[in-house]
Amino acid sequence: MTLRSPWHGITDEAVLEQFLGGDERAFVELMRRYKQPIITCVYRFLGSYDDACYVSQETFVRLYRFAGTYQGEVKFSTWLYTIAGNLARTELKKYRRKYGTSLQQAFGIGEDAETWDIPDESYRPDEQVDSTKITQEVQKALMRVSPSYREMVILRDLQQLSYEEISAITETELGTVKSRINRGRAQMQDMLRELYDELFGTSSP
Amino acid sequence: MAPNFPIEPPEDFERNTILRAWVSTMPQVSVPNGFEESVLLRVHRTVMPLWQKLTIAAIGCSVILTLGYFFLFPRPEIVTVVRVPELTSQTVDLYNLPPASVHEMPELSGKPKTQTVSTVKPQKRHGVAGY
Repeated sequence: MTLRSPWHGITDEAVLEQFLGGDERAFVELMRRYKQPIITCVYRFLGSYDDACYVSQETFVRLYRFAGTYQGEVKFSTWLYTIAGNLARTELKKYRRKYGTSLQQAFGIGEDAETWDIPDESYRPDEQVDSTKITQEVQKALMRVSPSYREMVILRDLQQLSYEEISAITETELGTVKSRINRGRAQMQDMLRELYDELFGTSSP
Repeated sequence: MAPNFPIEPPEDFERNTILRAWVSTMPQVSVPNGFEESVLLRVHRTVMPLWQKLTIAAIGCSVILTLGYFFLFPRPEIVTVVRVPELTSQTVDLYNLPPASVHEMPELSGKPKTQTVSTVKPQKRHGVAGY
């Protein structure tokens, strides 16, 4: 016989309400529900386990402090992913400011071209997280995709979120979301050519 | 109703499907031990109680008001008075000495009054016109 959690069957929004009513256990419950997907998502985006842990913790710290600002216009999970995404993007910017620059910064090109910044080539797979060759190669390819494409590919293909949710999380038009996901996938296909050749044979298209 | 002509899948159909399968089956990242505890620790370290916030706000306001007051109403220049040591006999201008005071001595009140004269001998002024 297994003991059921007292929070079983209660929606995230209802748990959040209990937390806002002063029940700290509700906050711990929200953390239990989302720590795994948030840390996975952030790790796939940043490629660093330590940074992913830091950003994920910071996400929950923000949740604790600003839970009262949740308006209920979007799902709780969408709101939480938005916080995590903003923090992860900030972390990436800090990293880039420290170690490199983007084409947009270098040439002052328009907003539309923001996705064509220099991909991160310095990624080395974390073998503890990704033990198989395929996951290592896929993660390596993800890290080389432009960050704004990468974020959307992760949210769509890894987290299985809807286009509408991704649009809300990234505050991007629905059409732009779809095109960026397609471009991101196309970039990844190019990078994973060797893996495809092994799988389909060299005569594959 | 199904169309009666074959619909060709896109050229990268297989590659795309495989890619999506690979990405969707990427392993979950393990959460480090003590994750929840360290979040709670950070939360309670960063979240200040109301009275602390109010105290800091009050101190901040008073500092800003004080600085603002001194900025808007600068105080007039303060004149500092420096005490100069009294002139010694060596630096006395002998040519311009004030007349010595005359004291009346009560014990000698019965006797004829004598005039007390300064013992400083006036000297000639050298190089001054009229002497």
